[in-house]
Amino acid sequence: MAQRADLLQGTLDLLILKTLVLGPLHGWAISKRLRQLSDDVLDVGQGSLYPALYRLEDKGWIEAEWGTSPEGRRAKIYTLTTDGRKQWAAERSEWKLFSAAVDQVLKAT
Amino acid sequence: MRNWLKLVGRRLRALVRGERLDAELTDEIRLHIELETEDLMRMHGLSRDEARRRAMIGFGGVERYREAQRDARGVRWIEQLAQDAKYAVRSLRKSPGFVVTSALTIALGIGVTTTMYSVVNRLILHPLPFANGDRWRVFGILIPAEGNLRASAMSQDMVDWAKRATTVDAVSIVFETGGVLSAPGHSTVASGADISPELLLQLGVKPTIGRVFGPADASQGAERTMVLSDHFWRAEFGGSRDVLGEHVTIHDTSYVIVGVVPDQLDAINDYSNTAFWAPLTPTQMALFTRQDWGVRGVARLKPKVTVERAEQELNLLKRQEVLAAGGKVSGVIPTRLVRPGDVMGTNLQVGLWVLVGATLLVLLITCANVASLHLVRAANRARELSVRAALGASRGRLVRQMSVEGLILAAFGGTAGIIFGYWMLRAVILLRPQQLRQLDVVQFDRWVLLVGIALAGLTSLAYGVLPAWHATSARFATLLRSVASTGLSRARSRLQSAVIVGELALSVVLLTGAGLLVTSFARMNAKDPGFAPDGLLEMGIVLPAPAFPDSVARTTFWSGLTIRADAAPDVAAAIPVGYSLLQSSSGWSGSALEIEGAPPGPKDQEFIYSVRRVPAAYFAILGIHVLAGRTFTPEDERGQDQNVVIGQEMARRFWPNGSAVGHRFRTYRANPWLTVEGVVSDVGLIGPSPVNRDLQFYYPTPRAGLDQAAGIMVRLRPGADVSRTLAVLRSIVKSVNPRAVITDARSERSILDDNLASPRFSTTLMIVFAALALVLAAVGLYGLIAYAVSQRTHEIGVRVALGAGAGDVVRMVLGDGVRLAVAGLILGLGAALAAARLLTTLLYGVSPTDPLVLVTIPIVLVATSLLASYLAARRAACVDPVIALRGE
Repeated sequence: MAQRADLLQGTLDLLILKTLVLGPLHGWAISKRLRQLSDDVLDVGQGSLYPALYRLEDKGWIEAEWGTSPEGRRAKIYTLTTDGRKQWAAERSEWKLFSAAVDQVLKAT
Repeated sequence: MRNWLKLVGRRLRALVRGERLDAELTDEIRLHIELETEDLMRMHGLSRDEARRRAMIGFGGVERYREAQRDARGVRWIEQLAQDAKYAVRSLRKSPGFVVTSALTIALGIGVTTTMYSVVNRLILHPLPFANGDRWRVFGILIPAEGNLRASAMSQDMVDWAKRATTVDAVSIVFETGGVLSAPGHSTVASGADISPELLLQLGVKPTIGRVFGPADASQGAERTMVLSDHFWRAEFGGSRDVLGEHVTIHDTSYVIVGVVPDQLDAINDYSNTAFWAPLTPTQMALFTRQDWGVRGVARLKPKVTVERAEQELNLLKRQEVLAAGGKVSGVIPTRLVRPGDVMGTNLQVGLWVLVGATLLVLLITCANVASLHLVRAANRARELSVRAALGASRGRLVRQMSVEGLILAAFGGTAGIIFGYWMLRAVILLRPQQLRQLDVVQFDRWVLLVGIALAGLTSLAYGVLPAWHATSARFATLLRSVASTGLSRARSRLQSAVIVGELALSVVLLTGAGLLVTSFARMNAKDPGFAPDGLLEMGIVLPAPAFPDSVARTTFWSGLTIRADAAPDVAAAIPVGYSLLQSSSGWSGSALEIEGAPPGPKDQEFIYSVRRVPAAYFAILGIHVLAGRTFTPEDERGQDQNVVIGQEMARRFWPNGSAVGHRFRTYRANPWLTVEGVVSDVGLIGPSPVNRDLQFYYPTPRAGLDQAAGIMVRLRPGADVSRTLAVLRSIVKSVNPRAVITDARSERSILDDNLASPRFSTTLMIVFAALALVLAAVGLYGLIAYAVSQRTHEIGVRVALGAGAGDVVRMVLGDGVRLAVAGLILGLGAALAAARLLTTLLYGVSPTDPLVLVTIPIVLVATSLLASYLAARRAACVDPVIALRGE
């Protein structure tokens, strides 16, 4: 149980970082963007999103600020920090390595 | 680092502004759902209500995510800790008896240990609290006849070491001086020391006011300077800053006072109560190089040099010098490098260490008691813990809760311990014997305090956590069931019995120590000092040379004083004497005594004996018992020192068979034979001293000796007031000659009391510690028995229901207590017999295996145990069988 949660968590972090690389977003927009980018395949459990956001903020990878959303509402807008950008790069290459390895295993006959 | 700071900042914000963050979260979730709703309406054309419903479903349980969210903030554990603390306080308040007992127990342990360690730390381990104090050593030699270390060295050795030694540096002579110190307006007798001009700077002494002297103050032509010791400055100069720059004279030499230094410096001058310090002059140094003077000295070990290596080098250099001068190496007494505290006197030091040992035992008992109390409490809470574990409290949470309780207890105990220790230190200082003047500056040692609190915390923690661990262990279900039955954890109660037996054994050790010291003290107190001390006063007087230039002036003063004092009201008789009866060590000398008609003893055998010149009236006025023959008559005073009176011990030693009267002896071959005219009781201080000072004899004073007097002794009429008479005598001295300086005026009784102050000090503290130990052990025993009774309620109920009387129940419970007491006693007596040997040097007239003590202690212990068990058993006897059985 715990291991699966870890894996998902790690993946979610990576995905959130990815959406933010493209520019600052608020919470709902992040989930929306994830759905769009994955053609609705990845529907992030909405409730896990916010704890993940706070965790990333706690680690110092993203910063949050109250501002006005494109919809004209008061919203908490998340931005990637320099550390977050580094983390993103690191996690992406790690993920590539990992998924390539999994791929290779699955392709083996 | 920056990130770390940010993290701390975030955590703090999360902690302080938790509610605000919760509100933000709510806002954020609300926004999310609204946007999702709108999105769903737009994309799928749903109604607002339907869209909203789907958005909510998509989100999941809002509360759950709030919780997850809070966890992510990383301050969750602090919030829980606050909750735990709240819970702990509530649960502790439910058992005030337990809280008070364990907090007090912890407080006692911490207070006692901290106090005694602070004392020893300051007096023995770190007597020089200066910047560079710890590597300094005093030059000492072991006096073979006494077995005591004395701070002593020869000046030529010191000069040589200063030049050639490579293991030590800053070798400095400490030369004891003193005399009448005259300041404008008054004169007083003060002891002082001349030291190397650099020494104070090298030691890193910080002056209380003014400055310390340095090399410049000892250069040719410089004005001579001195610094005062703090206590002298306060006593004689009222602690005024005006003292700086004031001129004083000693032996016609004028000094200017430049500063005041802390009293602790006295440690380098053999604790002589040094009043002032002055730099050694080049003239003095030249004298010390040319002639060999007996001096004191200090030196600093070089870094990484061991004491042994330094001693080896110094003694090697010393032997080389002796050989170079054509002397024999065999007679050289090796020099030792010791901490200043080591020369304080073996007894005092042993006494202090014994007390430290005693406090450690008390601390052990304290820990054992806290452990035992926690075990009892844990047993009572086993059911509660099991239920909570069954309801889903995690092991971590329960353990944390128990730890918090333990820590709160330790904090209470620690705080009480600090307060208790503070007052105890005050009390110890009030009780201090005169030699321990250094005690007055002892302060509470922070480090020991921390160690004590940590120890108490750990004990509480360990015993708090253990039961929680048990409760949540895999067997908790079994425990839940077994708790209800009477056969709960035999192992636990065995452990507890062992703890209590250990406590009882330790208190037996302390009680035995206290018993031996009390017996020894009682014997010392009861010992006849050989004269009648009550109503006898002595007064030391110094006649400064300028005012009393010759023998005539001095003789006139003494005879005038004696006649006036004799005539004073309440005075029965007054005589001039050349020394203090009890205090001074002068008048003692050593040589080979030759007994007429006896075979000569071993060639080098020296006797340390005391010889005094006394007027004929001396024996009668002092109330010295005459045991055989006669004492002196006025005719003897005119004689040629051929008639002597000897002490009891000397008579016993040399003329064991028959009377000594009429026999003759001499001190050196060249001296005339001395005839023993009488034998009197030995006079002196009583104490467990290894010094062989028990051979005493007296010469009759020739009349011409009056100018050598150093004071008077006064016998009061019965019922006279001591302090009033002392005041009258002081005014008489002033009226005979205002320039005479009184050094000391007191009753012999007070001197005897002071002499017993050191044993009284250690005995009192030992009694206190032993009593504490006994009370603690009794509390522990009570707790254990009470616990056992509570566990056996069911069984007792059955017994009562079957017809057992209250007496039977009490007897049954008492039996348990007695068994434990006897086990503790046997263990404790064994340990006590071993430990008592450490006390040997402190004991007077008592053997470490004194039968009286060895019989009394078991009685005290068993009686206390019986009382504790009885109190607990009484509760058992009140058990109502109906309730006990229904309780199942």
